[in-house]
Amino acid sequence: MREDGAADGGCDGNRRSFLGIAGLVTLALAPGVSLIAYAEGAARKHAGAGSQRRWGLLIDTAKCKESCTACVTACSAYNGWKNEGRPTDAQWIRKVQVTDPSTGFSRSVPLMCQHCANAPCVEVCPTGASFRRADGIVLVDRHICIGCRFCMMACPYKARSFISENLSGQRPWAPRGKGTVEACTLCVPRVDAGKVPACVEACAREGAGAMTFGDLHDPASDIRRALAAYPSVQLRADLMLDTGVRYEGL
Amino acid sequence: MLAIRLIIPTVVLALIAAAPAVAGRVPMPKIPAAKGAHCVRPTQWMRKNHMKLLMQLRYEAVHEGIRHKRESLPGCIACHVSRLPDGKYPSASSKQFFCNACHEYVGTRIDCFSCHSSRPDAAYEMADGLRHPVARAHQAGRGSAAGWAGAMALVAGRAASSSSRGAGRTRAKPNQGAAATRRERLRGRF
Repeated sequence: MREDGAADGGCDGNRRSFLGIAGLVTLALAPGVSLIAYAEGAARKHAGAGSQRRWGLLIDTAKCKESCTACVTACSAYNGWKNEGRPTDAQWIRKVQVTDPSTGFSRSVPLMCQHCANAPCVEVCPTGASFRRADGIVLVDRHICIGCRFCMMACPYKARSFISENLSGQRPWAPRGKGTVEACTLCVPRVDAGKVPACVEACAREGAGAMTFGDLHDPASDIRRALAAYPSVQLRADLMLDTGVRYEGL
Repeated sequence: MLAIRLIIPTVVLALIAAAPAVAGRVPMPKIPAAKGAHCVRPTQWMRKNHMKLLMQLRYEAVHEGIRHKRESLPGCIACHVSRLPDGKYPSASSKQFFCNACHEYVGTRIDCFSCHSSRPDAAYEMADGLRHPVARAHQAGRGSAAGWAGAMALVAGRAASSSSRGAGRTRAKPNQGAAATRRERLRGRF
């Protein structure tokens, strides 16, 4: 349908010059635009829990001494909970003596939230307050927890506590309050800051160095190397919860 | 007609002159002064939208593990809560407490501090009253090429420093002189 080759060429020329100008404009604008995007992206995305990691804990029960409670004391001090022996007192971590009655084999182990991949507490929560972070840490969002305690009933490790009284003097990094359920957080503020949980640090410093913290997805991490080298178990492995806390020597 | 032309402006001027006296009779909230040079967002924006920002930061911190030091509740507390003349920190339910000064005035009640600490934590004390290197550059050179260049330089610096983050994020204490100059430049902007 073309009638005039020259007109066609002219049109092509116009397009070329337009593209040229557009290109120049883009060149002039793009650096500024991408600077904003880059600067803001870097500001908002510099941290955050991603599923490329899964935090885990390995406890060597052969090293853990019955008399030592350094992990419990450190957790209590860092997170600001107290257990004065009353049945309803908070208990993020506790020492448990496990004994095989048929042989008499006995070990003292620290027991806390096992940070399951298939966490029953998350499944039963009616509000979504009990949740699993992308990096495997199971937490309670106490802003939306209604204190129904379903999760406490669902947890096979009795890892969660309910706060039934008004509190004061909470730690700035560990908010806690009446009417909500709480448990071991694997010291998320510390983990997000690149440190290890308070119990692990205390075990290495005052205890026997029985606890190893690390990334279960990283084949080069201490915890993965130890898991590969020695046999370990998950507590109540029959429930197939895929726990983040593993025990050696049980 | 001329009389009206004269009277109306006179009345208007008289009213304007009398306005401070009228405003003085209205009880206003006494808002305790903050320690930093200015807020993490423009003050007027914060007056309307602080709750939205807090909700966003809360979600990011709890669910996504994105924690900003200054843009966080402890960061707000560090800047906005000071000791009273008697050396004690104000109770979260008293009028001397920053949040409560306005909330009590408008008749709203918040329950943040039944769980959260209402006292400043040493780790969050303000170094120079400004939050983020990028935001700082935005504010310092808003809209200008120098601002973007500054932002890029800071981002580059940030990337370099974040590569050594494994050993715990340590942040170099900003140069006090530079911080003072920056504060001087920003004074009056918000």
